[in-house]
Amino acid sequence: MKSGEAVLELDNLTISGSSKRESISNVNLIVKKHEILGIAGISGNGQTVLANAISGLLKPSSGKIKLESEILISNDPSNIIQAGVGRIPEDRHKDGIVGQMTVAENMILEDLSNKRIQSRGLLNREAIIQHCEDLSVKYDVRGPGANASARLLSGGNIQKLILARVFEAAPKLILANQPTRGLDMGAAADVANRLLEARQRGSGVILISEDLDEILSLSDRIMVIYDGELKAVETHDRETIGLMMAGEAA
Amino acid sequence: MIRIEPRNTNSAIFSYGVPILSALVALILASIPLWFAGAPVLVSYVEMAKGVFGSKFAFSEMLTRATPLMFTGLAAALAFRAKLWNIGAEGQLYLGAMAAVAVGTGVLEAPAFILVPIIILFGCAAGSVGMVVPAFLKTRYGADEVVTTLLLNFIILIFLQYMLEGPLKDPMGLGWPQSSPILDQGMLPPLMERMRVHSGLLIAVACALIAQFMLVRSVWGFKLRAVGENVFAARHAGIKVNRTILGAAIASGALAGMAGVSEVAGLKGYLTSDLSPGFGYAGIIVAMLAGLSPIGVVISALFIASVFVGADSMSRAMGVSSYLADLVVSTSLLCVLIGGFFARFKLVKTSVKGQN
Repeated sequence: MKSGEAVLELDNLTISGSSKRESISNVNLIVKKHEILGIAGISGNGQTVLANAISGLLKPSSGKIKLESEILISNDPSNIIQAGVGRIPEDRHKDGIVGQMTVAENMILEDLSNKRIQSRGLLNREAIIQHCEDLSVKYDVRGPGANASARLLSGGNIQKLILARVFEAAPKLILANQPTRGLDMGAAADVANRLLEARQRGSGVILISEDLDEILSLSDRIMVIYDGELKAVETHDRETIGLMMAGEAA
Repeated sequence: MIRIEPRNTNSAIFSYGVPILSALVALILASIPLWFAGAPVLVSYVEMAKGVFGSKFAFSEMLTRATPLMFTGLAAALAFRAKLWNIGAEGQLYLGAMAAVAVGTGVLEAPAFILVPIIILFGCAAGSVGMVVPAFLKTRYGADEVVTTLLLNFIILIFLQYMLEGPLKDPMGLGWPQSSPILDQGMLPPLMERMRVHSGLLIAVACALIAQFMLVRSVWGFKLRAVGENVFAARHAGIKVNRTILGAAIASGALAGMAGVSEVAGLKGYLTSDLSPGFGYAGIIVAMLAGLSPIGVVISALFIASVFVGADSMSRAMGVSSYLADLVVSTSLLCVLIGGFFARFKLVKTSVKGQN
């Protein structure tokens, strides 16, 4: 498939965290439409802060984040969501859902200003339940129902709930951070298919993963992150990438 | 080994049965010290019930006692739902009372339908300020609000004593440290002839209904619950966490301030430094008993007020130490709190083998 113009551009992004694990230096990358960019790396090499910066949870020390050549005002997730970035968080229990709230409420967590679910600050309960039931069918979220606490869902179904929330917003860019970690085969395959569908539709996708098989099978282009630095890889060669992930110059 | 797990089902039996059972267990436990004190247990409990339901006056006294507990209970419940630990309702209550006295004792001459709302507005605003300051310190600098709100109570109490000896002192008060009386048209109207129960009670119940509605049905309440239950997910989802916490602080402080308004402009008429026998702290217990539900706060405030008023009148009637009343109150609270724990969690026996 032909990739199009750039969706996301990171320009010399540097984050000086309190430790090496929480720092990245001079990261440059471009994600285009119709493209999955795989970022391979062993956890603890700066993926978390990179993802947090793109998610708007963290203010970069220097450098720019551009979405469709507009500079994103970072450090505010709501701006990032408004700009059209969908995020599948690394820790789905912590960052993805509010376990004590219902499945239906979690479905609308990122979309509270939508006139379909609220008017003048009051929630439309029927519309929220209906929305949840529609999405549960569409994204195959199985559990004890729209009014049950989200913490009762299995890990795979929590991830499907997050997929439903992210993909329904038709994002321009999708940031998937370790999206299949800890999932069963079925749910993992589902995540992969959704990412491929989004690519088909024209979204740009950043796939951050430790799972080399996943990176190799889904990515159009691959970069490796090691010790806070991001390097492009020209091949899909497993051994080369594996060595780079371990910090060996290839 | 035993593990604690949240219960998956919230059945009606658990949510209504457990509190009632806990209250019964409390009465049984409290009968032991009663028996040691030489009071016939059954007669004592009859006296206790009489102290609450025995006459119109007794019942109205219970309602009078429950009114400030509803306000401070709501103040705690709303803040705690946002995981904002407001331990400063006692201080905010006095701020509200001071504001009520400041505008209600003659500075403004206005008819009741103007003066009463102004007094309420000033009282709520003063309470809000008392909570917004610690909330701002928390959101801006990460100051622990448990410490700041708790310590502010003592600062406010000393400030109150200064005000009662100085600017707010009643010139006609024969030197007592008390404020001038609130104008007659500034008082919250009483509900019953020759009884102390006043319309603050109606305002409290209305506040509970509004708070319940806002929590469940409004976007504001949705955000507040999301921030309280999981601040990480809320922030990730683009909810403005600091703004939400400040909103909860404003509402919570206003309710605590309203407790002060209600006591001073509904009951006492003037302000002294012993206006509240710890209503602010008792509100925390009321809120915890209610499982942080605003409607539940009304019920648990009525329960706690009943135990207070009933046990008090029992100790007088039976001639036992009034500390027994405190004992009955604390046993009830402990039992209901422990009962509430078992209603929400279950103990699961895990085999040693299952631990890998």
